[in-house]
Amino acid sequence: MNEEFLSLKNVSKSFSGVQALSHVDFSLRRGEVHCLVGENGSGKSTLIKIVAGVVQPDPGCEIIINKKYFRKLTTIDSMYEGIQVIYQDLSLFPNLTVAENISINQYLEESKKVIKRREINSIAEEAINKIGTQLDTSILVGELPIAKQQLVAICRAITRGEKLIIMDEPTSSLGKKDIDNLFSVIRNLKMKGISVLFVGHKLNEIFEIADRVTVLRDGKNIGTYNIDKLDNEQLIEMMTGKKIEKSQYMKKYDSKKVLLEVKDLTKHGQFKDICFKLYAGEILGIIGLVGSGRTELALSIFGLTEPDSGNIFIEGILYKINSVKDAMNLGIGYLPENRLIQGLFMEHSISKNMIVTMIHNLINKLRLLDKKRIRNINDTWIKELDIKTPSSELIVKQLSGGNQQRVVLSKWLERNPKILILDGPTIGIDVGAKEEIHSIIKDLADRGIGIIMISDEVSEVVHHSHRILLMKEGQMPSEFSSSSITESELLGRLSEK
Amino acid sequence: MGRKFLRSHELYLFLLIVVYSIIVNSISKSFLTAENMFDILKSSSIMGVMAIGVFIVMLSGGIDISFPAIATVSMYVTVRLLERFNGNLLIAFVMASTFGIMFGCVNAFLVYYFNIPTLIVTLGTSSIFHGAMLSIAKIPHIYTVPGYFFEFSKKYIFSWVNKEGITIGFSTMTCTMLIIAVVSWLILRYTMLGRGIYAIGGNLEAAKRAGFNIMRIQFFIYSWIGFLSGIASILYVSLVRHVHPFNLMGMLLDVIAAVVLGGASLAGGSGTILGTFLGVGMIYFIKNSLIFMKIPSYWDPVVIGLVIIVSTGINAYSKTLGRRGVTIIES
Repeated sequence: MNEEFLSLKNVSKSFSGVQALSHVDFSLRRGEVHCLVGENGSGKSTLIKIVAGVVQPDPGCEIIINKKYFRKLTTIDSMYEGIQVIYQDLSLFPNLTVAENISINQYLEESKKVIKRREINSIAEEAINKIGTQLDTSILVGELPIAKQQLVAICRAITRGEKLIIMDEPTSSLGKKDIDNLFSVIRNLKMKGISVLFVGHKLNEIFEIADRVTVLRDGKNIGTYNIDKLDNEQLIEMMTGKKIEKSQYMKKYDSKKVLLEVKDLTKHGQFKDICFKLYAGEILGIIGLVGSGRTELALSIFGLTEPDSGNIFIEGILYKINSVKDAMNLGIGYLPENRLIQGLFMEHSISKNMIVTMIHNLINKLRLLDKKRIRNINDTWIKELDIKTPSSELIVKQLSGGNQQRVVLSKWLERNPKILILDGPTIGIDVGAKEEIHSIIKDLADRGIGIIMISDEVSEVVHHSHRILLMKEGQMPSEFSSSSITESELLGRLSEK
Repeated sequence: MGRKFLRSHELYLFLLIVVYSIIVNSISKSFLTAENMFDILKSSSIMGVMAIGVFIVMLSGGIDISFPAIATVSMYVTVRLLERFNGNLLIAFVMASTFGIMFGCVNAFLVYYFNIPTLIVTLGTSSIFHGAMLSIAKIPHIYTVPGYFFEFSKKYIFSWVNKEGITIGFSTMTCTMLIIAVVSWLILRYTMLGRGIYAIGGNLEAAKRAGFNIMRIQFFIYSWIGFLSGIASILYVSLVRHVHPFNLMGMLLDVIAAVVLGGASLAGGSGTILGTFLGVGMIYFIKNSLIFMKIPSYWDPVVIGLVIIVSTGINAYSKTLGRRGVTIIES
């Protein structure tokens, strides 16, 4: 159990002058689940690529796999030693069947020339049974939802006698049930003496699955710890290098002013009899697993899919929202995934970033941009939000993180939305940036905007919303106040049948 | 499997051909006759052979527009040489397809080692191959083609004589095309090479990571279309009995149109040999039927253009509809 499978000593790597890794030591034992954590740009992916043989480290390091010393590790060496990587983009072939995708590595390795349907099917079935899931092997991978594609990628990685499987953020697109499934597979692999290197963002998952955890920050190894010696705060602190205040003050919302009311909204096969109210300045968390109908509900409110029955009231007036344009005219905004923060063009000026979403409103009679009004908008928001900059023409990249956030904020506030629907605002985002996004969301709510935050992360809705609606199989059976429920209670409610 | 077939592009295209020929036949009664159908099968075999090559290139995510030039040059050089030396048809096929493979390898070399977009590579080589032939051969027409060329196109695998005394039959040319189609289909479906072509068309990066030999696959793809161009060029000489420096060049757009019509995506990764065949069939039906309806052949390109835009338009539109639809809750 404590025998070392992989050991890296003094690994450094720089890309055209940028030091991605500096003097990192890393070791991994046989049959352990080892988590690799760190913020974006901390060097996690470089480390993975070095282990996979895709990237060659700078001279002066030592790589030992299976007691064999490697001066130079190539992709073939790495595979030959039993190391398989499941990349975040999955590297699947959308136009080949599930069976072909799963068995292709084995065929290539044994350099077989002719495909035998029966053989590839049995390779696929075996892998699928091994991870305890069900997949139709004759279907094209491109026709599967992303969660199932992930399972295909995992199946492909375990078809042969692997000794180490590296998973690069494997849970980022999976629902709760699939994650549980994956974790039981990982435990299974562990029992068979296979090591798993798990790169992740979600701390609760790391605490659930890891034996040991290694924290990277700015290309340096901050330390490797047994997971039971750590708690949440310590881990976050090591990753970000700064203390994060946990329970932030939540401003009270205006419970007299109803912005949005949804009554008995039904779309056959997607959601049924949905009723809720959203108040001004409120952050309303909607939690549900992938496939619970949460996104479908949001799309109906946003006018993308027409509901079969039910009513939507905006500020007390009944509206029929037929199109996205209608929804936007009514002041509803919908942002999928992490669009909230993605919206900055780092190489362009503050001014351009502020007006980019509303440029068509700033055209004068000659169909040219109205410089005066643009300057007005820039000056107003720089003053209002206290953005520290010498000029609105400064490139956004040169601003500090906090000031960049305020530029994002101004961009949305200038559009003057009443209701913002954020669908998974922090999916695939590291801990530090997550906090920034949550504070932007709070700032938006403080200014009277009603926010619907759709999430599948229990801690996100418990800590960052006023009320929580639980969505399940297209229905919305329960509502909680975030101050009266704990994470584990909500998790229980979410996973119970 | 049955449901998949019902939604397939091939079925839809087949129905389109059936409906179209019924309409044409109601205008001109002699369209849907065994004689005309077998004649279409025979004359479309040149285009069919080329289309299979183009389909495979498109499947891999590339495009080859140099195949008419390759065919023209291979045809010219082969016939010129066979004029002087004794030969037979087999030698002609071997020579032309060998030249074709050589030209194809030039394309593959440029595509693989220099990473130039395939359109640009083949645009360039097409111009070089064809231009060089025109400049080196002062008179690129050959009217004195050895006799054994013609006999091939007149042979039938089986035939009968109808009431009017006309011989109708299954031509050796059609047979050649079918053999090539079956071989190509077997390669695509049952070999790792074929799956590799699908793989690089579907996700090139993943194919590299999985360890496919990209170089070997690219060389196969471009030499295969070169090979097929050589075969097609001999079929062409056999049918029209002279070598013309420009006639084959005019087939470029028709062939690409047929492949696209058959359901291959310009982005790579999708399509079938059957679809390609139906695409060729559709183009030929249109051209042939216009003659039957006594419409001047200047209108060919107009009608073909319309069919391409309408049919691929319907396809693309139904895909955007599908994408807009939201996933149904899994039970």
